[in-house]
Parts: sequence; structure tokens; C-alpha cells
Amino acid sequence: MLEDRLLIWKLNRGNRQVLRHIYEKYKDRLVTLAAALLNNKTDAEDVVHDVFVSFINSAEKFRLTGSLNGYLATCVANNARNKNKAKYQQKNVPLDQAQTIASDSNSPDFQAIFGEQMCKLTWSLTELPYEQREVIMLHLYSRMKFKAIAKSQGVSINTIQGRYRYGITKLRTLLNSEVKK
Amino acid sequence: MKPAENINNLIKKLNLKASTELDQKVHNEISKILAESEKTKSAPSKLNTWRIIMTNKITKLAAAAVIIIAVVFGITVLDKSVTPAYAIEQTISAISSMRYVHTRYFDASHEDVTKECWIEMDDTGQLKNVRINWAEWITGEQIVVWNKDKTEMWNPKRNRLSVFNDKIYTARILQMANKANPRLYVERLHERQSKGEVKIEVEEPSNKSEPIVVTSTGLGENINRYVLFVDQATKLVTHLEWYQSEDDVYKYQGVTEFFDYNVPIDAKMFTLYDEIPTDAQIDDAKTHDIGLEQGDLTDKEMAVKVVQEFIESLIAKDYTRVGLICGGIPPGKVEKGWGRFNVVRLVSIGEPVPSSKVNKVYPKTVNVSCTFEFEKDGRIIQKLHYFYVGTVIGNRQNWTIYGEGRDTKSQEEFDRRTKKEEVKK
Repeated sequence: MLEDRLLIWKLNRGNRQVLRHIYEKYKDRLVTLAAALLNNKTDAEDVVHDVFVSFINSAEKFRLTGSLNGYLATCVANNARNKNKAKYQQKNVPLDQAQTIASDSNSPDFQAIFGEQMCKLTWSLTELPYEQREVIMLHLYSRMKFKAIAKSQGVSINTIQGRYRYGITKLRTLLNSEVKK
Repeated sequence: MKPAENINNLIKKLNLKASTELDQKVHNEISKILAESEKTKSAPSKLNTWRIIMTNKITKLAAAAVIIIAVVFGITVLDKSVTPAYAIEQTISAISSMRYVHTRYFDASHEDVTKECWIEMDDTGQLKNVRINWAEWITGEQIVVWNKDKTEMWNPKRNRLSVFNDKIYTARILQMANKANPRLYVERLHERQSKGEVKIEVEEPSNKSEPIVVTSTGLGENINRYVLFVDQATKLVTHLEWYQSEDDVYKYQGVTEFFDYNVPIDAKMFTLYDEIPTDAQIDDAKTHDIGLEQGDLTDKEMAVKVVQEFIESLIAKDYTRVGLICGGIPPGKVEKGWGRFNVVRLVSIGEPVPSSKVNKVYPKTVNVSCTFEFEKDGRIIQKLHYFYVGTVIGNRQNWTIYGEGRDTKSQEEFDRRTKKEEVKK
């Protein structure tokens, strides 16, 4: 938090070099978030690219009111939603494609222990309705509060909490079932 | 079934790496922006002239001579004229003429503004006008404006503007306003530094566009940490972050932003009459009597009396008096709420117990239980109800009911909280 505020401070004062620092700090998290929302890494990278280009161009006027992480995650989610609307919705993603989200982890131990579970999770995420997936990822992965998510999407906090509850219940059921072959 | 926390943990562990293509594309964009900003900073014609001059041999020799002289001169005077490092006194001096300031406080628990404050001071540095807007999650978007003669408190949920002059409330508002006053922060910091109560660390970046970061860590009982960001050009504080020490770890608690130093604040900001809806209820303590007068009764006797008269007025269907006892609620509104209970008998009133809601504004609050009977569909039903009773803001001689419900917090909890607040202070 302190680091982010300092970065934005520098940015507002004309130090554009901090844009590289911000990108390096958040790129992987944002690509993961976008990939989980879009089920496709190429599209995810396009979204993150667009978000950063827009951020870079408006950097001078940018004013941080909440967390930078939350701000960028919201931008990614909004862009991903637009992209999703524009594209044909892929409802059933083949398991091997869904695997790409989980398979980039660096640690071999991590893969050995969590590999199967992560594959199952990413497949299960693709099975959720988009809106539920979005809330779950923004809340659990990007650590955004329900209120902030509701505000960014222009819906009530109850709607967001409802989507989250339904999503988690479905996710739990899917995780307990067999992985679709 | 997997526990929910397993899902949380799994999701948190999702990790995709951005590709080198993406890295390259974004870094190229950043380079473009950097190049553009460099272009706007430099003047090409001047550069060209500079290059022409510097290609001349005589100029080169002259420049070398100038550099040598400058270096020798620099070394000789270095001991005498070291560039002065930043000291808190510089901020105190810069801030001393402050008349207006606008602040925003963000609590770590919420992303939106928690509290926004506008302060105007007189020539002697005393608070003249204060306005505080609270977030919805704290007080339901309450707004308070204060000056030494009166306080206006707007409660949007109750659609009600209360106007009063109350010493206790004034003390509370002044305490809050002082917390938002950057001058007091730095003066207090300086005082604590001179007493050896805090360790101050200053980071002064060579790049003048970056802020000076002053970190103050308490050394005594109050070991909290405050981080001030000071603008290098103006020496004014722009941000203040505070951290609380928990288990030897400094946890971020919140940040106050200070801006619009000495930008005059419109006088309209310090009165709420023009802002509130036309149908809002206005209670002016000077003209509108609220609650019951205590007289010679003790606090406990008075609390019991308030509840007793409340029930008796309900039995008599005197909704004007019920409204008066309940903090000035209009009779129509009282009838809508309490009128549906056909209260017929007061059974008993319990011993008033100190409430956990006691605070600086409501210092004498007690929770009083009461059993009464009401009639419904020809049947008599007994009901146990709890009331919060305390003194009226703006007229502390009077007591009123200002809330309902059982105070479930134990006395121990109340004591613990009070002690914690004292330690914080």
C-alpha cells in the first residue's frame, strides 16, 4: 500500500519510469485474472496490454483513491467483460486449454502437490457463469471488497454477494465431482 | 465436500506468467511515452545552439577551465556550505501561515473515503469553521459543520438536521478536526522528537519531484509509526500514513491526504441549511425542547423515569410527549411506529446498566430493560424491551431515549475497550 502510494506520487510528479515498476509488479496477477475470466491466455494478454496502454496514457491525471491493485483489477475485469461480450462465448473449454492457467507455476513441488487440483479448479472456473466467475476472482484473487466490486459494476452489494455465494457453491460441487474428460 | 478455505487457497495460488511478447509491447509503449515527455521537456533549438557552441575549440577550453575552477571552488567551500538537509522545522515554518486545508482520510478496512474534512482557521491559528463528512459505513453519511457558536448535524437516514451548541460535542469535533490538522501533527512530532519519545528517519530523494519521507516511530508506550510525505518544493505535508504495532509488525491502518492548503473554502460549505431537502426535520436546541429535565434525580433514577414516562405516554396515546421523550421525533412518525402496539400496562423496569455505547458524546448512556403489555386481536401479550437512555446533545440537563435494543456487550468488554482507547491516546 505504502509502496503503491509512493509510486503514484512519483507518477503524478512526472516520473514516468515508475510505470515500468507498476507493470512489473502487477503484470502476472493481471494476466492470471484476465485468463481466468476469458479462458484464454492470448485474449488475456490483449486485455492486460489494453489496460496498461490506457493507464500509461492517462497516468498524468491518475489519482489513486483506493488500492492500485483494485483499480487495475477492475480495469481488467471491465475490459475482459467487453471482450467476452464481443466474442463467441466458449462454454466448454477443453481440459488441456483450461490447464494453461495453472500450469505456469514456477515450483516443481507446487505442481506435484497442487497440479491436479489446480487443473480441476481452472476447469471448474470455466464452468461457472461469467458474472459469478468474475466476482469470485475479483474477491478471492484480487482481494477486492464486495462493496468495491458492486460499485465498479454499478449493481447492489447484495447482487454481488449473491453471485459470489452461488458461484462458490457451484465451484465446490464441481471440485468434488469428476473432471470432465 | 472441500472446505471453502481450500477454494480460497487454490484460487490465490493461481499463477500465470506474462509472456515476453506482452512485456515487450508494454515496455515499448512506456518508452514511447517517456520519449514524448522528454521531447516536451527539451527545447531543440537551444540544444542545437549548444552543440554548435561546444564544437568550437576555444569554447571547449573555456568550458574545461570553468569546470576546473568550479571543482576547486566547490572543494574549498564544501565544509562551509553543505546543502541543508530537511528538518521538521521547515514544515512547521511553511505550515504556520495555514488558514485553510482540505483533508481526506482512508481507513485500511475500506477503499472509499472514510472521512472528509474542511478546516478554516482564524489569524491566530484557532479553528474557526469545520466541516466533516463521514462515510456511509461509519455514521450513515452524516455531515457535521461546526463553529464556536453552533453545530449543525445532518442525519440523512432520519432526514433530520440538529442544531445545537454543546460543550461535549464541540470537544469531540475539535479533537477530530485537530487530527485532520497537519500543523498540529508536525508540531506534536517535533515536540516528541525533542523529548526523545520518537525516532525520526528522513529520506530525502535527490530527485526534487519525489517527496521527502519522514518516518516517526514511537519509542515509549506509544510505539505507533507515522509516515509523513513532504513536498520538497513547498515543505508541506501531503500524506500521512499511520501504522500500528501488532506482534512486532507494523500494520497499515490508514492514510490522511492533505491538499488545497490556503485555498479559501466557500462559506456555504459551513452551513447545511441550503443543502438539506426541503422536507427535512430541523431541531434547533435553542427553540425546540427535547427530552425530560433531570432536576434533582440521580442518573439512574432519571433513566428509569424516562422509560416509565415513555410507556405511560404510550398508554395515554400522547404521541407528542412520546416524540419529545424520544429525541424530538414528530408525533405522526411516532404513531406510525409505536401506535401499532396498543400498550396497556407497564409491568416492570429493570436496573439501568452502563452501556457499551458510552462515548465522549454520550457519556452517561445506560441500557434499561422494560416489560410492558400490549393488546393484539383481543389477547394481552407481554413484551420485554430494551432502551438506550442518555443526556440530550445541546441540553445535557435533559434525558432522552435515543435507541432501542439490548446491549449485549458485557461490562468486561466495555472496560477492555475503554482501556484500549486510553492506551491509544
